[in-house]
Amino acid sequence: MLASERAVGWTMVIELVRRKDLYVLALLVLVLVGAAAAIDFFGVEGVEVYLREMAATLTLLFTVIIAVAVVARQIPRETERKTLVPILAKPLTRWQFLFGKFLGAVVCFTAALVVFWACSALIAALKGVGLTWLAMQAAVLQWLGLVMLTAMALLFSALVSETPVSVTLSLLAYFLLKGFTAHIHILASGAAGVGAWLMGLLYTVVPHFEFYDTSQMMAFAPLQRPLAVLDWLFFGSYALGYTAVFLAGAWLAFRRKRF
Amino acid sequence: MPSHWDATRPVLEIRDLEVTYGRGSRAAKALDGVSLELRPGEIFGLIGPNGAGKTTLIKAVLGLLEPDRGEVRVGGERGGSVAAKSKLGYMPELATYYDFLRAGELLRLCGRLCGLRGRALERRITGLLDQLGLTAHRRKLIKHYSKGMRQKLGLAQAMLHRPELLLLDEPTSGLDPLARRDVRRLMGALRAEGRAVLFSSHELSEVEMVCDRVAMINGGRVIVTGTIDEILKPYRSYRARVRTNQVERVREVCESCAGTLVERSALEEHIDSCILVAHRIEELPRLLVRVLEAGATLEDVDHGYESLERLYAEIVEGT
Repeated sequence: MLASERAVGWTMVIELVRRKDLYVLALLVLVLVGAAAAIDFFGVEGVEVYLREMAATLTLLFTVIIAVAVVARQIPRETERKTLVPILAKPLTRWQFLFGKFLGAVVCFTAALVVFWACSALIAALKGVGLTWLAMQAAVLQWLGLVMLTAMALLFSALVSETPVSVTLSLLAYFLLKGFTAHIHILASGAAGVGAWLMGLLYTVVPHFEFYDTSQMMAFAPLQRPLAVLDWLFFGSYALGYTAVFLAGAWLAFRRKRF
Repeated sequence: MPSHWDATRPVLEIRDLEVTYGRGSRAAKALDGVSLELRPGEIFGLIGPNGAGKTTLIKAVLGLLEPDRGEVRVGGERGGSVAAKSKLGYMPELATYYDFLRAGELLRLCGRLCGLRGRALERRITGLLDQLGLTAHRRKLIKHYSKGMRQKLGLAQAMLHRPELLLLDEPTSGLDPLARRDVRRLMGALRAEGRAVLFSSHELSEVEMVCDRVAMINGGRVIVTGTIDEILKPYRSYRARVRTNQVERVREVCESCAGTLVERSALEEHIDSCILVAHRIEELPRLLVRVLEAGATLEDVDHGYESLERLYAEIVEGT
């Protein structure tokens, strides 16, 4: 099942393993979370809060970098290096090729997420801080958000022909959307008439990556609570819905592209 | 030839193919009404200058670009479809592959994309690497391969699933003479197995040596197509070598015959001999009689073709 897609995706995993990005970023996580832990050494209180927030924030940030670096450059770079043509000449459809890239990227960022969380958990354990169920919940939510992001980056990869443009657009779109979409309804509450309606529409239509970042929740105890089943259903279907939309867009852009 | 192949059915049919790059005032026709047909066991050479449309034609066959008009069929299947692509193998002009992979890994990827699995795939990979002399380099990363090794790897990935049709874009480029000979032998072996090869090259001598038929493309159009004999027929020449110590006298005789006894002739002058070249068999004796009367001695008579290179230059440069 999905043999061609798995073959295409597996190549991306081999590339991630043979490139040095993942190791460098894992080392960075260790250094930065370790540095956060060292604050306690100087007598600053609340090391648990710092550690939890740093762990969640850095893990997400570095996994976003890995996910975007892996997927956004795929089609432009393969076009530039002319590695795309011999593969597309093989008996597979363009959808199979795209979906294989998507699957490969999911495996890559999942591996990165596990490595980064493991690094964070190691440092936290050394400091006697537990990353219990809350960390698991944060990791799963991050994973869902990253699935969405990967599909969006693949769309940019299929749309533009230059690697730096595709990577920049993907990162910019992610951080802008994550930073500002949460505030749209606040703006809407201050507007009236058509303006308010448009703001409401915008809030509904744009993807909310901030739903999947729980670093604040991780840090501050009063907000810590397990998500209910309905919440999980909502977050899961929301991420899958947008993923499907982005993948469909990527396929539309890629299916008749000339190489 | 495998029993399920139909020897009478063309492996590749290209009908009235038109491909345009750009739009509006920037539109440029890369292919303009190209029609070709390849039969099983045939090696077909595609020749033409850079930008003539050879690679565009190959890409259209692969389905990498949608033609504006016309049709491509590979083994009866619509060009670019999975069914059509499973019947062909392609080796690109620039042998660029995932350079972070090893040869075995690349071939495994290609094999899986072609539906090969397990031990059968591993046996095929081992056999091909052995045949192409890459066994010792199987575990080396492709980024450490030389150009010649990459070309061989390109051939291996194209031949992996034993396709009916091979599209080889400049397959001998960058290879040393012995490796070129090996590739020619390989193409011969593929022909003997009943596979068809569409072979694009700038090496005209190689095309003459290997191909059963050729098509010369220029400006996106097929200028001439046929067997080497057919397309060079107008360029057939009849030659007589004569020994003389009066080369100038022979030249005068030839010039006096031009337009009267012979329609078109040429003279290749050497120190103590000349070669008379006529383009019609009946013209050579007329010319020869006059030259022998002028004191020359006949040494040899033969006939031959002017090379494909001459025809190529004539078509491309309009000379």
